[in-house]
Amino acid sequence: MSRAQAGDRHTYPHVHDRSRCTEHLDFRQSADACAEWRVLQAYSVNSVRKEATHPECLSSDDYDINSVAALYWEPVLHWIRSTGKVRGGEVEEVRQEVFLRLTREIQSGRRYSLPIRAVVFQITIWTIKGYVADAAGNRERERSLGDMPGDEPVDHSAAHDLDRVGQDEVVEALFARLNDRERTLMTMHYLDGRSLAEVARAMGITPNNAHQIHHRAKDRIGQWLVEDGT
Amino acid sequence: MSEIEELTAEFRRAYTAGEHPDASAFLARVPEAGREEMGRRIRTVLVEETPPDPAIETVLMVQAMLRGHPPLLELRAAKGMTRDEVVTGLRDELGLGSADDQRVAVYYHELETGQLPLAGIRDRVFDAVAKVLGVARASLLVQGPGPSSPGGSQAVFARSVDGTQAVWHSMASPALEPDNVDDLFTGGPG
Repeated sequence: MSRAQAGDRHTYPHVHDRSRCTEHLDFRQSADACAEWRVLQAYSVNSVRKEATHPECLSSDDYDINSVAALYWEPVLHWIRSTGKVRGGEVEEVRQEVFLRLTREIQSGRRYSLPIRAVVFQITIWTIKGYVADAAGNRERERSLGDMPGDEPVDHSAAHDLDRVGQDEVVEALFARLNDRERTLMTMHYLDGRSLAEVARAMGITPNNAHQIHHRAKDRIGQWLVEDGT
Repeated sequence: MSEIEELTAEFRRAYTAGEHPDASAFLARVPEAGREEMGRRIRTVLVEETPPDPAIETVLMVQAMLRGHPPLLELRAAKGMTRDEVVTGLRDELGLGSADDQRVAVYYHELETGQLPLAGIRDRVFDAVAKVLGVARASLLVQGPGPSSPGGSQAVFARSVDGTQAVWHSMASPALEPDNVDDLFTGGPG
């Protein structure tokens, strides 16, 4: 099965219908703002979760940034705070940066082939690292250069390190740490869009064995994300 | 069960129940030597558990952000609150006096329209804004200035240039020392 075909299985056309539906809501201009508010409340929050957490193989069609951002807005805050590396309003800056990057990538048509939860937290990790490194760099520059004549100007237009980390690197960085069998299986399943049964046949192993390897690999990736919190 | 294990179980229960546990507070409850482990366990919970349903206010603010509208402004309007009501609530929550209302109003306008750098804002302000607007602190969506706004907020900036900023600049004096209000909105992080 092609990647596109695999993605078709998980497309949610109603997501876009719902987006259009809420597009016109303008509480400032509405004469019946309370009624509008009730309409929004009536819109099932459960549907947000269903749309954003569909398991396993996701195509670009599956990503509805409204749903992903709403569902992970709070967990990302917990993640950032759990590291103890940033505080106060900096936490909000990092959280904003995480979703900015996710939004950019989804809107530009980039696709991740991992469960969205892993992608969101991986981006969070990189964003915290970049933020902390930037802050340390700024402090270092302030100490070493100050405002003395001849100081090198800071190039604010230079590409941020984070922007050079593409979506493939997210996947590759995680898969590279798996053993050969796990990496092969995960690549065929997530990047090539093959079912586990197809992967099992291609690898010459039983479907049950493929499920075990898949489960173990996912566990390991989850553990790495946790350990590499910053 | 160790203290950290108990706290992890408490965090997991609160998180899955949608009670918005504060990860920082959980870290603070263990001795410094155990905080890294506590943080790791919190992240394990986040990876293992399906996130709880987002608050309806979060959905509203995210949609606003992605449309390029100021999330806080949309939330306040949806709640049917005037800016003066919010400012009065903030003044009370932050322990300020009525003489500070005008300056709090200016800062709140800048916060609401995404013009105030987030890193400078004290935690107490975020807590107060969340309380006054009736949302959990973790659900609050506050945007900072500049191109990093996902939906873009150029319209907001354009509108504000000849309005509030002019008022602010006319109020500000170069000789004026930063005071408590300035510190709350620009003295962070922390």
